[in-house]
Parts: sequence; structure tokens; C-alpha cells
Amino acid sequence: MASLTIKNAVKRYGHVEVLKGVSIDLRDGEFLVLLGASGCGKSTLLNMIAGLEDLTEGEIMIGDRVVNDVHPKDRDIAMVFQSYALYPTMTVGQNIAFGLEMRGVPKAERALRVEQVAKTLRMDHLLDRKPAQLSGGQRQRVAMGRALVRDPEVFLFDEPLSNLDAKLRLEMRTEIKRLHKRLNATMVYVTHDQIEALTLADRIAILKDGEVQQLASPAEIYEHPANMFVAGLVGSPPMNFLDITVEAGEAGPAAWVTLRADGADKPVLLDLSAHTARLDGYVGRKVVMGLRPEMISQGTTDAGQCVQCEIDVTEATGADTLCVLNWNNQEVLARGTSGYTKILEGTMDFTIETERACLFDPESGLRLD
Amino acid sequence: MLTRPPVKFIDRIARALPQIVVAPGFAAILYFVYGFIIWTGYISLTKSKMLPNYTLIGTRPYERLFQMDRWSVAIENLFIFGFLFVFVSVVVGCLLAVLLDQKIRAEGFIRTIYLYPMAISFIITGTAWKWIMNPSLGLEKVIRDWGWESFRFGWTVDNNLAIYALVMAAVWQASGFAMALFLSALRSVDQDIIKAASLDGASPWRIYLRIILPSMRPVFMSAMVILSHLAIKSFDLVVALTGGGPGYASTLPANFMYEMTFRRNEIAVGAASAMVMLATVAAIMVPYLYSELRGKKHV
Ligand SMILES: Nc1ncnc2c1ncn2[C@@H]1O[C@H](COP(=O)(O)OP(=O)(O)OP(=O)(O)O)[C@@H](O)[C@H]1O
Ligand SMILES: [Mg+2]
Repeated sequence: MASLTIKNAVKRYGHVEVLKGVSIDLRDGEFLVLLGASGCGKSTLLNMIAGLEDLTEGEIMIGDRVVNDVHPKDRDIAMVFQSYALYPTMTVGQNIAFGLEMRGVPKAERALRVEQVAKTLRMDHLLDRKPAQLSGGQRQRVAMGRALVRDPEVFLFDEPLSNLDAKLRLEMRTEIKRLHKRLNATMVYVTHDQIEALTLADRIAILKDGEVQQLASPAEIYEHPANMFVAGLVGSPPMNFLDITVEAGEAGPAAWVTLRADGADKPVLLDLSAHTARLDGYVGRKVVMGLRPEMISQGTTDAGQCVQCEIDVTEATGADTLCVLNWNNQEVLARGTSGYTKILEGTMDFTIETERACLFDPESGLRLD
Repeated sequence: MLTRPPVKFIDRIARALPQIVVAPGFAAILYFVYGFIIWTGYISLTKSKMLPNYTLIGTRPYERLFQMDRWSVAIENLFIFGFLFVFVSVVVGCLLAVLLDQKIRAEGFIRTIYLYPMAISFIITGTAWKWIMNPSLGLEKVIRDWGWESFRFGWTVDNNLAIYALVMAAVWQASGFAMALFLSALRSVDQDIIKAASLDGASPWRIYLRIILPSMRPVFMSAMVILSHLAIKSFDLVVALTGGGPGYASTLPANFMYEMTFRRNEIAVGAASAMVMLATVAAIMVPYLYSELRGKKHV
């Protein structure tokens, strides 16, 4: 186990700058998830940590050793590839044992460790098969087994679950979580699935166009996204963005929002006094208010400001019902009370937790602090 | 009710166009290849000598064929030549491909150089090597002139070595082709697998030996089939390089067939040898084609 430090890593292919100065610091035993859209440089960064790609600029340290010029095999890293990369001519057992064999582990011990790993991943019955005779999920487990059997300093996972069906993905996610808990190893995990990121990570690094947008714990990223990109990427259903103009109200800043209720537009003054310090100097200017669907809940509570508005469409998902509302002529998603038990239609009461709202500068997209 | 519009003549032609275009070629193949195979098969059972004669005499030409020392030498030569030629070409081609795979500079240029011999006809290869191996004007003379008086390279005029001279020239010609075949297979190996192996701590040559080459088995099969049928067909190389000599020490079955049919007025025996060769080629090609075609269907 070891810490992992990436200092200002830059990667250029010719004139194309794929990574533009990424700095990430990982504690020993930490689970980092790299989250970002396709093509933002996640695999590139992972390959650079593994030593499969050179850095154009910057430095990578494992423990307190700079590994820029260290060969991949001497970095003591295990990686699970996006494509699994199993050796097609070897059996599952040989696949798992190959790394040990190359490192000169005696045959008896090899067999023992392969057996242990196979048991952990529940694939002891597959050891004699060839990769071509396995299902996607089984291949994925073999790829994991190949990494686990070696007990390296750092584990790297490149979208290991992206090819699996929803159920298996859920199972493997829990499996990985359990594994991390048991091994307490430093892990870097690439994904573009935000649920995976939120459930697995100690910390999440959100990448966009080769730049880190935010590096923080899942809670921090969810509650206090650094900018509109992060706010929109994380959370499902996504955050609502409402364009508002800040006014000076009686108790502090406020904003007019036109709600649809009883077939007519009704302007309502939203109280933003909880954000007084944040909105200092923004009176009279436009800002973007970010409200997660669960911040607009059906019914009257004293958690926030109550308004009446018309429900456009409802989408029952079983656990809860999403209501599409129409505010300021923009679609707004709200989370209704749970289940199919209650019929939601017409004009109803909603409570808006304005305190928890995020406010963004419309030009820079940054969150106002 | 919908009535079918009458099919216009021009439409009917357009629909049949592919068949019309292919038909002449198909007919020609049917006549010139399969027709002549049947004709040769028939002739090999007759008492033809200088001209075709259609009187059947059973398998007597085959019996005569297998009694001839020249034929047993040719068959033996074919085994030596075929085995060495295929084996050495595959090994050399494989080595060259691995060397070229090391991301070296000017790869395209070097690849072209190695592949060039394949573009030359065997006649030219044979003639060039005949000059190179000629004791009084080739390599032997050059090296002796440099002072190594006992140097010998006159393989083409040596009874026991002539067949190896053929192997050397044929390998020179075909190993570049084998290399190109292997190189493209090497290149199509998933890069992630190689990366995974190097993370697993395998050295580059171990990666080749344990992971890449084993996964290229189908390509080895194809290379061997293509090279073996080249070996069975190599007629022109023998004509140009050794002329089958000295004596008939380096004759191959194809040369034997030519000799019998067109020079020695033994058309029936020549046809018999041709049929034996056809059977040999079929024995190699049919299982291969069968497995290839069946494989295609499964994909
Ligand atoms: N060899 C290369 N030459 C030029 N550009 C490259 C090369 N390899 C990758 N890129 C570019 O670098 C960018 C990042 O690629 P990378 O594979 O890291 O994306 P990713 O974030 O892993 O995406 P995905 O989620 O689809 O796997 C892409 O825009 C890609 O086009
Ligand atoms: Mg990727």
C-alpha cells in the first residue's frame, strides 16, 4: 500500500493537449474515482500512472518514489483494463497466475494463491476454461482476479463494469467496495457512471477536457458542486437550473419566479435571505439557481418556502414520483411523495428548500461562495 | 387489388446482369480447369506415348511411374525441399516480423525490400541464384579471389547439395511474404493485452513467446498451407536454377511431369504423375478449405 501523488501532469499528442495540468494527491488506502465524459482523458491519466504512456510534463510519485522513468512492471501496480485484456490462449487459471509466474513465485504457492482469489471472486469452477468460453461478467471477474492475486501497491480500474448488465453491475460494485474495505489498498477507478462514482469513492475527481473540475468527497461534490458542470453531471435526476434576477427584498435578497398555477402565471417572490452573504453585490444581476429535484418536495412542510403550482406531467418510478413543473417557462423536476399510492395532478403545494439551493455565476459557471 | 406491373425486359436483364457477367469466366474455368483435369485423368490410363492415344490400358502408366528411379528421386526431393522450405520460411519470416515490429525507423521501406522478392518470378530468382552459385563466376570466385582459396559454394553442381540450393533460393523469395503475413497478424493483436502483460512483469520476448505467437496459430496454419502449395508447384525455379541437375538429382515432380510429357514421349506416365500431384495438393488443401469455410459460417 502506498500513497499516490500526481503533480501537474500534462499530456500532449502533437499539438493536441489531452491533459492540461492534473494534480491529484491520494492518501494510502484511499479510493479515488475519476469521473468524466467520454474522451476527457481518464484512460490516458490511468495509463500514465501505470507507466504505459509517458508524461509530457509533470511528475508521478508512488509512496515517496518518483516513478516517471520506472518501467511499468517495477511500479508494483495492477490494472483492470476497459477491454479486460485477457490472454486468449491461456486458461483462466493461467491468466491469473501469469503475473506471479513472471515474478518467479514458486509453482505450489502460485496454485494456492490462484485458488484463494478464485474463491473470493466465486469462480473456482471456471479455472480450466479459456476466456472465449466465458460470459462478459465472468471475464470481468477474471480480469479482477488477475489484479488481486498480486497484492500490489496501487490498483487501477478502467471502467471495469461498463460492459455488464445492470444487475451484475450492481453486484460487482458491491464486490469492489467490499474488496477495498478488506484490502484497504489504494485504488483509482475510472468511470462515467455517476452513481458508481458516488457509491464507491472516498473522493471523486471530476475531469472535463483534461482538467480537474473538482476533487472532493462524494458528499461535498453532491452538496457543494464547484461549478455548473459538476452540478449537472452528478445527481440523478439532474439538478434544475433556473435563471433568476436577484432583487432586494425586505429580509434580504429575493427573486421573482413565475409559477404556473390554476392555468395562469403567478409571480412569486422566492426568499433567498439564507444566501445574503453570497449574493452580496449581485442585486439587480442575473444568477443561476440550482435546485436538486429533492429540494422541491410535494406537500407543505416547514423546511422551506411553500408555493402552489400546477403539475405538468408526472413520472412514477416506483420508489418515488417525479413531477415536471413549469417555472419561468423552464421545465423543473420535483420529487413527489413516494409510491403509486397518491395521485398527483392539478395544482398542488410544493415546499422549496431555498437554503440548500446552489447559486452560480451565469458567465463563469462557478458557484457563488 | 394491386396488380403487378409487367416486368420490363430491361429490368429482367438488369436483374440477371451479375450472372451474365460471371458466366463466361465460369464457363472457361469449368472447361479449362476441371475439363482438363478429367482429360488428364483419362489420359493417365491410356497407352499414350508421343501423342494422346485413347486406348485404355488400366493402371499400367502408374505402375511404370512408381518403378522409375527418377520419380522416386523427385518425390524424395519434394519432401526434403517442401519440409525445409516451409519450415525455414516460416521461422525466418516470423523472426523478421518480430524484428520489424519493434517500432523501428524506415519500417515501410524495409518491409518493401523484404517483400520485393515475392513480386519477382521464380525464373528470375533462379537465374540470379544460378549466377551467384556458379563456381567460376559467382560468390565462390569472389571469395577465392579475396584469398580464401578453399571456399566452396558450388551447390548447384553438387549431386547432394543441389536440392539445398533450391531451398535457399526459394526461402529467399518467400520468407518476405511470410513476414508480411506474420507482421499484419502481430499488428492486429489487442494492444491492451500487451500492456497487461508488461504490467504483469513479462519481458518483451516473453510476451512474444507466451502471448502473441500462440494467439497467431491460425496465421501459422495459413502460411504453411500457402507455402506448401508453393513448394509443390515450384517448377520454374528448378528449371532456371539447376535444370533438375546435375543428372536428375534436383528434379521435383513438376519437372518430372514436364520431362515425361513433352520431352520423352511418355504422355501417359506424365499424366499419371500429374494426377498423383493433384492428389497431394488436394490432400493438403481440402481439409484446410473445409475448416476455413466452416469457420466463416460460424462467425
Ligand atoms: N494516440 C493518440 N493520439 C492523439 N490523440 C489521442 C491518442 N490517444 C488518445 N487521444 C485523445 O485523447 C483524449 C482522451 O482519451 P482517453 O482515452 O483518455 O479518453 P477517456 O476519458 O478514457 O474516454 P472513454 O470514457 O471513452 O474511455 C481523446 O480525445 C482522444 O481522442
Ligand atoms: Mg477510457
